[in-house]
Amino acid sequence: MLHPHVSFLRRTAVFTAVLLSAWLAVSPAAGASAIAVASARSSVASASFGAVVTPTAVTSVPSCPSSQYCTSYTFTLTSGPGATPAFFDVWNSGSVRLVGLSYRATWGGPGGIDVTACSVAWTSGPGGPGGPGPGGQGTCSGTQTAVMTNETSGTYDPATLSGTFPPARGGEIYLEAQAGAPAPPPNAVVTVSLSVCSGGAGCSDGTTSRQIRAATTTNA
Amino acid sequence: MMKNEKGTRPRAARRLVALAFAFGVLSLTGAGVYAGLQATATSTSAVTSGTLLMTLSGDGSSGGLPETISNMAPGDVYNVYVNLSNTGTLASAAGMTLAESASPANALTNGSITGEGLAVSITQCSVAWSSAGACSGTTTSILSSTLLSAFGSPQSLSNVPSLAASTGKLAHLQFSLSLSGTETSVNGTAPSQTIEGLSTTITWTFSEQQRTATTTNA
Repeated sequence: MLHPHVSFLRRTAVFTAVLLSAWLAVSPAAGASAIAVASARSSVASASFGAVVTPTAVTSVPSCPSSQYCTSYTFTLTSGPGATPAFFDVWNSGSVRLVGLSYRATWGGPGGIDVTACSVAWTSGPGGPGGPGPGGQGTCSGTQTAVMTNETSGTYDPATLSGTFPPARGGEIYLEAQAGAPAPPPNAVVTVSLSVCSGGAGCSDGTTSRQIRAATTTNA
Repeated sequence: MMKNEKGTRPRAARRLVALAFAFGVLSLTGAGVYAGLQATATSTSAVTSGTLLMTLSGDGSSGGLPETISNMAPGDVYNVYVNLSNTGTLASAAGMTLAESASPANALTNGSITGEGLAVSITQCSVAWSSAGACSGTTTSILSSTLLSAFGSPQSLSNVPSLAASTGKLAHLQFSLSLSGTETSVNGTAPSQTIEGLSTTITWTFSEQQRTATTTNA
């Protein structure tokens, strides 16, 4: 058995030899040439895009009574005499301008629905909530644009007409949905959902259209 | 007993004195020999080492790097113009590389969504770029559009002739960053894997090596 001091000395000698070998191996390569570097940084933040349904001031929105917005809007569509439309808003919740929007309305059964956009908030028409007359249609005092006409359940409708989507960040349009002709079954539960695609073959709404603002080239 | 002790001590002392005397004599003799044989001849070598230095600065009216890009949408391209200058006294070798590191690494940079994310390309102009991004001289591709996720190791930059040629040269580079991706947001919600709404800071590092070492017989 070695004396502890001898063992320590031996280990130290071995360690020193290893370090020396490593230094000898590395030092010729490190000293053989010089390298210069220049570095800089880029800070990048990407945009988000999308549109959501918001509660409307005209009628209550059962699917999102308290939240700021709904991820989709589900309502019961009445039809026939005394039917009242459903009102909801679409809000540009992303950080870029939109140039289009895809709508999809789904419900069980046949028939179609009509969806109409108004550039300002709908007001109660005759027969509307609190109104005296039949029909219950709202009144649009701004520009009115058809979003869906007798739309079949489950199909996307890429809307690119001005007024059918909120172009500006934080912008809003106001929608009214009612039974088309033929009408869906009475008290059909309708869900309206929205999609925005950046363009290309990966768009899940079946289109390849770019629905966010055009790409830009910046020289800074 | 007393007699023996008395006899031992003086003998040991005599030996010690004799040993010291011998060492003294040898030391004096050796020093004398060295002093007698020493000869010197002196001269000088004046040596200055070269420097290998590289800098980045804005080209023309461009702010150059660093840059801050906000709200970048798929398809957007952001160009800055930089001068990559060889400011040292040594020429560089032809090879040059660009490395990047991103913090945090996310879908903009790490390739977690196939084919999507940030890409960089570099084009050299033989003269300074105009503020509108036009080159009135000859353009040369230095790095074709490359996703940052492909930067597993530093990318080789090709065709950097002006820097490789000699010292004091600079390259006028268009440094172009673009965002690729096709995504659909449904009901205001981005896909589970998305390039939307992300931020990252990328550190770019250009590296050059010195020219080939030389052997001079003068």
